[in-house]
Amino acid sequence: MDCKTARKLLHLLKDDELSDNERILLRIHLSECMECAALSKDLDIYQEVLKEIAGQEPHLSNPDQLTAGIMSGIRSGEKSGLENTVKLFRMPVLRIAASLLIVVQIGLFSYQHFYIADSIKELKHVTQSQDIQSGDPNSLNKECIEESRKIITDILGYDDPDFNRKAIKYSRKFSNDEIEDYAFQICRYSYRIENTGNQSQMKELLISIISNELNINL
Amino acid sequence: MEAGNSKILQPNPDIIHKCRKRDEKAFKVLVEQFQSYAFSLAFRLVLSEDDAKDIVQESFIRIWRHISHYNSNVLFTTWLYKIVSNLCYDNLKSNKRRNNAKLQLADNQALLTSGDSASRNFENKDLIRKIRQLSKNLTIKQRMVFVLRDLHELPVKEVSKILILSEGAVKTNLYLARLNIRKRILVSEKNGGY
Repeated sequence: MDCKTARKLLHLLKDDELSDNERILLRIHLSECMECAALSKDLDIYQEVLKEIAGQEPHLSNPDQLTAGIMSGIRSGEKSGLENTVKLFRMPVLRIAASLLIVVQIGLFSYQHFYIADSIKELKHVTQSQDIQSGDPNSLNKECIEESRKIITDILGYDDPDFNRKAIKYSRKFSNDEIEDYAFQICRYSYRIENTGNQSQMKELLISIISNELNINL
Repeated sequence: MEAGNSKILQPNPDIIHKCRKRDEKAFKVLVEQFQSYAFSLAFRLVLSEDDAKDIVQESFIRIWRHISHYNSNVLFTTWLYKIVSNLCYDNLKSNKRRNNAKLQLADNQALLTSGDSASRNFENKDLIRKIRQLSKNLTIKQRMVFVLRDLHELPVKEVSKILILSEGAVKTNLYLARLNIRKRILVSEKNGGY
């Protein structure tokens, strides 16, 4: 064993810090090397100082008060959570990030909200005018579905005749309210899908979401 | 039930069971049994009685919140010390972020704050001075390994679990910490004792 290794091992003296093999090799080295043996004696001073400090247990004043504080803390856990959040937002980086996030969220919400609101308004207009003019529920549903399809086409930027055919096929199953809700779901999800940027992915997602939402096989 | 070392303990399984059922009385028993161990570790790490108490309080609140997920195969003290150490780490790290002037001011304030407590208990003040002097130049990791192993006297295996470090990494940090501290002790001895 060389002196460098021996000196490292000398600092790791406690029971579970050295293997039996390391212990034996170190003992042999110390019997042969005066310098390392002297260092070993220096370390005795370290051990004595440490023993004294480790033996000095910190004194906990008012332990009952600490227990009471903990018990009160667990009862007002929600308040503590809020305080932690407030504390967290005192950090400048998080403050800036949170502000940016809020601005982006407001922007997205506004865009989404007005877009959908506009689409629904248009859909409602078609529904009402059809209702007044014909009163035929099948015709009404077809118009609604057609309008929904137009909205999807506008949002997604492509026209899917297959989707249109299937949607009309299922339109008879639904009431006016359901159709309106259906259109709303289409608009809502179309917006989300639009953000994926991939048209085939958009189509698959749209079909699967609407199928799941309305429990139909499109 | 005690597991060899006086600071490695496991509460009665019945207490844990009751705590999982949100029994506040049982939790109080758990707190009374373990808060002094948690305080002892936190105090030695952050060197402030008030900060240590805050850390102990937050640790037990977290334990209450997550006790349903506690794995009884892990020693309770390992879990407790892990939470305490993490909070102490954050405390030490945030202290380190301050600039030197602020740090000096905070240290003085900490001593003054602790001094209030120390007027009630001189020993705490003396202990702060000694540990501060010894661990002055250690990195946070070295300091944590040193306190857990040499002052809180936990086995290397426990330290490794608490700090989520390999046993080899614990030993390396321990070696570097002891090397540094030994040099400080020798200098102090030459100057007439530390």
